[in-house]
Amino acid sequence: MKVSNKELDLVLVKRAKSGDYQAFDLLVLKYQSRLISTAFKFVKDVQIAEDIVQDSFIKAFNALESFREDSSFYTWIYRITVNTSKNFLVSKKRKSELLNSDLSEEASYEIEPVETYSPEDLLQATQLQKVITETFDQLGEDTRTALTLRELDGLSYEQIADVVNCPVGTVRSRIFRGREVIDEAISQYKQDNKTKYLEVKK
Amino acid sequence: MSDNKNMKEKISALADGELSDFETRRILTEISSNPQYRDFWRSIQQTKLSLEESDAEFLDSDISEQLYSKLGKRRPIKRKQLNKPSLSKFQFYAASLVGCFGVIIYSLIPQSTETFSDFASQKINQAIDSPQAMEVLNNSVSGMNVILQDFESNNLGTLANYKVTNSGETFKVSLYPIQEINKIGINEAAKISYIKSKTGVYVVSVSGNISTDKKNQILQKANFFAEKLK
Repeated sequence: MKVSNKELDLVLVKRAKSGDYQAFDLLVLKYQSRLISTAFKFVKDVQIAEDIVQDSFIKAFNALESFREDSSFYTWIYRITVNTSKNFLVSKKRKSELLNSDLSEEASYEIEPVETYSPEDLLQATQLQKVITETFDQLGEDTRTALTLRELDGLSYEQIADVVNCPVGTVRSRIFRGREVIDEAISQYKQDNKTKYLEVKK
Repeated sequence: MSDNKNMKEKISALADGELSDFETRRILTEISSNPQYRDFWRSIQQTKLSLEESDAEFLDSDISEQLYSKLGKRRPIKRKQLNKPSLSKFQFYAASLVGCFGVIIYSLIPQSTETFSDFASQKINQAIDSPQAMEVLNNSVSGMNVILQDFESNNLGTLANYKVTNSGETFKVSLYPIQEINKIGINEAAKISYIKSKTGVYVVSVSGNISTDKKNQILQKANFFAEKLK
């Protein structure tokens, strides 16, 4: 019997509940980028968004026992992140009210969020995505087709095998090969960035 | 294919929900304890997000290090030799070996020595509370054309349910402390061995609606597996 995405998360949650933090870490690696993106939509500040997602994961970890195993982990952590983001905004607004009331009784407390997502941050994020998509485009046709059907169309290995008329094992190998090549490109990109950073520091 | 590549291929399949329950649990243990596999897991998630969304802004953000620190957890230590059996595997193999020999020796010599019992107790305790214990059970049925239907593994023991593909016969292989005997269906078990140890008596059992010959065969294979690991 295959383990679906939701079931896999549940296996990880169960392991985390029994004290295996590394299982929880795999959930963090899986969902952190999506959640930071969600928090950023509220707070418009990368650093604050990351802090909010950290807090959300800490809250989730400490409340794992209360997680209902018939629900989706992602929906749960997503809800925690949204609530933490909203609470942050409310708290920020209150602080501003207090500050303004000190200055003037009639002062407005309307807050304009300041975007601190620097062009450098944006460039780095888009560069990594560029590395991934360019490497993906350069993959052999069979490999790219298998990975496209999996990642973009969400087909199972068996469905892909039917579409491209090859054994399931071959589909599995092709998808792995594609990911392996992309992984090598990501590692190289990170290594290059590290070297550049060290050169700048010199 | 090297062990390392083989493991990564399984991680790739795991990320797509294409592994069996048994393999999932086994592979998760490997990813959790090896930073290289953890990085590959992250790379797969980054690739997924990158291909799914045209504007994946936070692809490179990583808060996992800070979370380790804030939750007071320790990162796994990188293994030196990825292509060779890891230390934990050796420990597990040793546990399996001792377990299997324990069964054989105890059935030949009813009163085992205290030294052996102490050692076996320690090793069996390590073996039963791990997904690798399933590997012993699975190896014991290798070549038998069976499907793993279900299994349960916790600090009390490990139980695997199998189905013979051709005949539809079902059977269980388990390793449990004797106080958990009710859980393994002792009435239908034709082959049981006991291991006496300092912390209690353990039961290794093969049960179900398969022939006695097949049950013997399973125990022999467990023995063969242990011999091969010498």
